[in-house]
Amino acid sequence: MKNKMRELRAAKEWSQSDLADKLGVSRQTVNAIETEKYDPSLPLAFKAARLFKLRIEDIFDDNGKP
Amino acid sequence: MFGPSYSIRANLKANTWAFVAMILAWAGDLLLSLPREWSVAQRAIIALVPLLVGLLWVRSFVRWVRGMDEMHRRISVEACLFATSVTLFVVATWHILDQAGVFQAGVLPARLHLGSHFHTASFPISLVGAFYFLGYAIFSRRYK
Repeated sequence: MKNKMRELRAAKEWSQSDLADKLGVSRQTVNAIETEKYDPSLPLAFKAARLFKLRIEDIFDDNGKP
Repeated sequence: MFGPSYSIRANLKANTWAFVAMILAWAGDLLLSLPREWSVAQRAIIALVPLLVGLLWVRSFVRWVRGMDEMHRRISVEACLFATSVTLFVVATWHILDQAGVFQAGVLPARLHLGSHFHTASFPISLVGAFYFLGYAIFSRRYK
């Protein structure tokens, strides 16, 4: 799933570790999400959306997959 | 006790009781193979101690997994499924070969005592431990 996590994090000038601390996950998980190798759970996606003050669909894009 | 990140150190710490259980199982097998008369109670204690230690491992393992973040928890669960299913397959194959008399037929070197290993608790315990680490290494590569 495509996402804008890396751009959003860079705009805030946060390191992966900073974002990981704010989301309560490991740095490896943030890296796996940014490189689109891991799709976060719905609760984690909501947490990220709240953190960036955006909607989930503004951050994650599943290319209209059903 | 454990953080959301995975590390070999945390893995080894969480699985310390598994190593203890494995060593006790091997020691138990060795004790019971000695030419000495053991009472039924003594045999039961020697046989069950590794399993009781195994319960401590389960407690430690559950705490470790609960403390992980969702990605590492998924990898751990996948590694557990891999370890248990592969162990089940190996043990079943071993049993079938043993029943077919392969180990008694002299096809494999007798000094390895391969057939007798199947009957020891340490055999599946060791396999689960080894396949868990192998599984973790395989499944974690997917997210790197």
